[in-house]
Formats: sequence, C-alpha cells, structure tokens
Amino acid sequence: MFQLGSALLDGCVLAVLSRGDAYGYALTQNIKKVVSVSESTLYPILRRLQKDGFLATYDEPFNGRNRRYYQITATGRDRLETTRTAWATFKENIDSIFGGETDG
Amino acid sequence: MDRPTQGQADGQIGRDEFLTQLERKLKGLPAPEVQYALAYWNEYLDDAGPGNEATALAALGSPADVAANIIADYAVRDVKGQTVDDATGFTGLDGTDGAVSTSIPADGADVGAATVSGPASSAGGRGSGRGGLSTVWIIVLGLLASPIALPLAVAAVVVLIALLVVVLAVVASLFCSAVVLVGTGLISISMGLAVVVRDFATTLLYAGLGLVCMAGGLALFLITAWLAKMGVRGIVLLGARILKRKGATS
Repeated sequence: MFQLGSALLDGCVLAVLSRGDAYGYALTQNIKKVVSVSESTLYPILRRLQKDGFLATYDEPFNGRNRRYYQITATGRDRLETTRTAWATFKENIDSIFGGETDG
Repeated sequence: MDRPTQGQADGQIGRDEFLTQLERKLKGLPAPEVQYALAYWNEYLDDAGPGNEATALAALGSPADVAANIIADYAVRDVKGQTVDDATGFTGLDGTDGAVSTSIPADGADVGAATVSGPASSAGGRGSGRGGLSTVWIIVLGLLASPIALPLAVAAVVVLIALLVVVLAVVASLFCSAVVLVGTGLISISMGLAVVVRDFATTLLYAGLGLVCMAGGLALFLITAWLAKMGVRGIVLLGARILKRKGATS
C-alpha cells in the first residue's frame, strides 16, 4: 500500500544490522520479513551504504568459501539515529492528521 | 565448490547462465563494481542453498532486472557522490573505496572461478570521470540492456541524447559568449592604453569598459560550468529514474 523511499529502506537495513552483523542472504530474508522489497533492490542499497561509510564488510570462511558480512559503523549508527528521529516526527504528524490515539 | 548443476524448470535459467548474463548486462560499469556484484550474487545463491536455488533465482527476476537496479543506483550515486561525501564529511572516501575494490577481484575469482573470471577482470581500474559524461554513457548502456522493450529503450536513449545535445549546445554558445566578452574586454583595455598619452579620459573609459566586459565574461564562465554540471546531472537522474522504474516492475 505504501511505497518505501530510499531513506526508509536505508534505515531498515541499518536497523537490522545494528542488532548484529549479517551476510547478504540472511539480511535480505530478515528485511523481507518486515517489508516487501525485492531481492534485487537490496544489493544496490548495501553497496551504496558501504561506499558512504555507513557499513563495513569482512569475510569469514564458511563451508570452504567466503561469506561477506556487513557491519554497521559508528557513522552508520549516527545515520540510523537521524533516520529514527525523522521517522518519529513523520509518524506523529501523520497520526495527528489521522486522529488516532495520539490525538489525546 | 558446492555448485550443483541441477536441471532447471522450463523457461528458467540456471545459476551459471544468470551470472554470465548479469556480467554482460553490467558491462558499462567499472570492472571492480562488476566483480563485486557478481561475487555478491554468487554468494547469495550459495547461501540460498542447493535446494532453493531455483526458487531464489525465480524470486530474483531476470538478470536484466537485477542489472538495471545496480546500474541506476551506481549512476545516481556517481552524479550525487560529491554532495553525499560533503554531507557525511567523508573526505577520504575515494581512499577507502580503492582499498575495498582492490580486495574484490581476488574474492570474485575465488568464489566464482568458473563464471566470474572473465575478460572484465583484466580491464581493471575505475571509471574515469566521476559524475560526468561517462555516467550518461553508463545510463545509455544500461537502458539498452534493460528489461524495457527495445523500442521503448531506444526512444528513452534518443530523448536523453537529444537533451544532452541541447545542454551541450547551450553550454557551447554560452562558452563562446564568455570568450568573446573576455576578448572584447582585453581589446578595449589595450585600445585605451594606446591613447594613454594623448587622451587619458578616453583611456579610463575604455579600460573601464574593458574591465566590465572581462568581469562579465568570467562570471559567464562560472555560470556555464555550473549549467553544464547541472544539465548532465539532470539527464543522468532522469535516465536512472526510467531505468529503475522499469527495472522494478516485474
């Protein structure tokens, strides 16, 4: 019903990674549990967040191959906090228009 | 290597075919970027597990879809890169990027030796101009390789190129005007200086006019440069938008 902009998707990825490092496949499955996003849109997001310094990567051997893990950086946590605050404001505003419970 | 070559359901491409096609579709991107993407999707399919490979591939969509998303995002970041860097205060970004990309070809070759080590890996190096005409070129290649029906893709490319020609024409004419203004200024000043002994008032007049002309010309240079940058940027963003929307619909 609602379209997730890139800011929110970035936020979702950062939020999941703030709870622990993850490799591409597991991360995708985690995100997909919450929002309906196609697999192919997540890769560019990961790559961009990494290039912007919000994520770091490291490789760990697994079953005779390497798994690339994504890890949130300090800058990434700052970005997540910014997104969180912005989201809270946004949500409050929408709620106030909808006249939900927050209307008091 | 744990890569099962299982029979595929009709109409569905296998993993090797997927990666080969993806590599071909990504051709316009810098080699490290291609290697990184191929390594990612190779690993992704490994992690999906041998049993789920067909399902995972089906969920991914066509290589063209996957490539369109990658190219669109790369191009947008390329033209916006500078401002993003400024906003986050990452001055040494290119350094980290280089460090990352040097580690990738090795990985890529290791993870997917069969499919990944193509001629692309020997090309090496990064794309030349950041956020310049090369990005427009990447978008054009991306559109032609995209899941959009070919006539539509060609139409989109023609529109983008037409816009680019308009921008370049405007920029070129402004540039000429700027050159002429500066030249006129110089001539006017020298004319004024020529009569400095006979008629000092005229010298002042001509020198003043000349300086005004030169100032205008130099200002026009700056405006032209800014216009060129914004024009190219707008074209890239428009192209990326077409690419991404069409790429995401399936």
